Amino acid sequence: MKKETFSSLLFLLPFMVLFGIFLLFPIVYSFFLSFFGSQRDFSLSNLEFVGLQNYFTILGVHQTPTGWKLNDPQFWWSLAVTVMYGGISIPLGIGAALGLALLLNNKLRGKEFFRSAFFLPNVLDMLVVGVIWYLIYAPKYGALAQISTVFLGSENFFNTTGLLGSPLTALPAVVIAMVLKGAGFGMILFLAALQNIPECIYEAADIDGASKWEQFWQITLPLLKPILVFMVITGVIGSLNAFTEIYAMTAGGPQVVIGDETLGSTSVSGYYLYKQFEGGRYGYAAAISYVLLTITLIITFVQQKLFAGDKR
Amino acid sequence: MQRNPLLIAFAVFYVLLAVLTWSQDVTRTPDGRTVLTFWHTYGDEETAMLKEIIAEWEKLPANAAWTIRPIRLPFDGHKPKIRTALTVGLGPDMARVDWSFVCELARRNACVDLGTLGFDKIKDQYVTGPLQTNFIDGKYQGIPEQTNCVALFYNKTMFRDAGLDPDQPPKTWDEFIEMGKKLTNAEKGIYAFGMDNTVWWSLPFFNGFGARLISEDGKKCLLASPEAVKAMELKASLFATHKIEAGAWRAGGTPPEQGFQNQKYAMIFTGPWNLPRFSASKLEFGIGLIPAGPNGTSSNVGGNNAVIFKAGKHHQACYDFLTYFTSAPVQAKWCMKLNQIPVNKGAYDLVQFEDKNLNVFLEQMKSTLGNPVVTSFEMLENVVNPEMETVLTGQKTAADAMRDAVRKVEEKVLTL
Repeated sequence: MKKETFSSLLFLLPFMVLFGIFLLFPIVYSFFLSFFGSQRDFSLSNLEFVGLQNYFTILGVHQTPTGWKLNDPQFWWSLAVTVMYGGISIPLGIGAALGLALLLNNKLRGKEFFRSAFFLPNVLDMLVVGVIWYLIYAPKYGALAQISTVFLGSENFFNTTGLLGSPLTALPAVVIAMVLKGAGFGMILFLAALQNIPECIYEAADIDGASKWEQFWQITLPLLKPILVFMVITGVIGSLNAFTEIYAMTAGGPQVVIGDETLGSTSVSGYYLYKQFEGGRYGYAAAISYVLLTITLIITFVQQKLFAGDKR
Repeated sequence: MQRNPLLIAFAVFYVLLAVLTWSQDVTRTPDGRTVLTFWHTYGDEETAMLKEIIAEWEKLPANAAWTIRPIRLPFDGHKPKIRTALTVGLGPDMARVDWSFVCELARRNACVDLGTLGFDKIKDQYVTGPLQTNFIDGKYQGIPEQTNCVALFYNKTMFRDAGLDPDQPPKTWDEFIEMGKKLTNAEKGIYAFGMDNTVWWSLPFFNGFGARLISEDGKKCLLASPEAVKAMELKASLFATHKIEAGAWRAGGTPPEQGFQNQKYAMIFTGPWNLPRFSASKLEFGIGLIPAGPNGTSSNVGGNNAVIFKAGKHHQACYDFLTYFTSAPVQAKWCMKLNQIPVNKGAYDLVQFEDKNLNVFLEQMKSTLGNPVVTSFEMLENVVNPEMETVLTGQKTAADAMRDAVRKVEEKVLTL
């Protein structure tokens, strides 16, 4: 081995050791764990081997007197909630970020202040932001309840039930909080991209008689496409990883009954996985995490294909 | 590369220090006593008291061969820490753990069956509720070590304002509802009652109706019993039918303790841990027993138990210490100093509390029933709480929700 190679490996060793212990081992061990049931004792060697049972329970169906039913409807529901969460939060997040960027791209007085003010929530911890919004939405004493009571009287929805208390409004309420938290980051990206669009393109469009609206659709938006693609990709990953905001604001509730199944209206897949782990179903939780990993890989693969197609 | 002599000197010094101070035997003190490690989760005041009790125990001639080494863990992190320690074989000899953790430890084969050490002969000394949380699969696998329960806190000023006798809290659920209607003024945001909606906080309802959640052998969920359904119906009716409960259990709702302190809720269930807080806030409050159901008044069990680990070598010595620690005279001393409820029935006649409110908890404790014993109480809560919520919101009847809860508990909790 060359001396340079040896010294390079030596320098890499501390990181590789830490990577191996704290990242690689848990990843491999959780895959191993996904083939086991409940622990018989606290040793790592005496687990109850169940083969693919955990995966069959998550993904399979069974027959009942009333027809076929999913083995774990709560898992599929959590996936549906995750899709809804992403479906609402990604377009809203992009819209808010783009709107703010377009506003601040003008010759506005004090725009440096607004730029910092809109970016500020992004540096705050997710849990802190979640708790603050929980207090804003709270019925009776929350800021929204207090303001709405002044205009609508005490018997209004914001004061009696609160946005987080109804299955219909809880998820959109979480989305609004997270969109406002994250909009500042997207705004900075869009702003940088907007400032890179040469002014002469708009001047040429003006001469050709294009309206402002046409200029936005035909010039601005196509030139912002790389940022839009980036925002969609990070938005999808963010939705699949969503946990802290749900933990802080709704704990997966309020509950909603669909068929005869009780389901958490904001129970996203990351939160459902956490509840299984918290409840001691380690093998099952590990299997769920690998199913989610597979779904994430498929989505990433599709996105990569779309992105590559765009390049051509 | 230039060699730094100072760096080399430091390296040599540390290596020498490690070699010279290395000892294979950390289980013995220099005076030859064998060390017993005791992991606990006490606060500052309790730790100081624990050290006093340990010193007294070590002074007894029969214990000359032993010394207890108490090691403090944060309460919130004690379960994962103990799990990890047991996994790698570095657990303590004994530990103080949350009552709900004993079942997991026992079913994972980590605890000593105390019957083999003579616990069956003295078990009747202990208060029934906390004792039952240690009875797992036919064996006593822990010793009640510290206990509490909830009782009915009520605001005397709000009682007086509603034309009620401030020294007569409701004794039955019928009285509770009747008084509740007088105390509630929804327009002003004032409610008679604020409640939580988790299994543990609902046990006073279930126990008052004589409903057991899990069968004694731990194999069946009994939530669909007529008693459990009636208890759930009563609980839901306070919010949905009688409208005397504020919806404190909903996301964003004012939590019971906060609502009580702000004089928005006239009555709540809570435990002795809130006595200093409410007294300091100058609230004029009283404490009564939980309103009686068909099975009389009853509450839930909180607190901690002590377990001895199989991996340790000195089970009998640990047992001797724990039985001394929970004996009537030691418990009386501990509880009077720290304003806590004794786990030993013999201590009930010995304690004299300055805060007379604590006597209500002593009375309530006598009628508490053991909590459901399951491997993961967290999972039980995860499964049952949502079903209870559907009853409160009127999406399911109590019978349907409890039937569905049974199915899920037997599938997800009792299989652990």
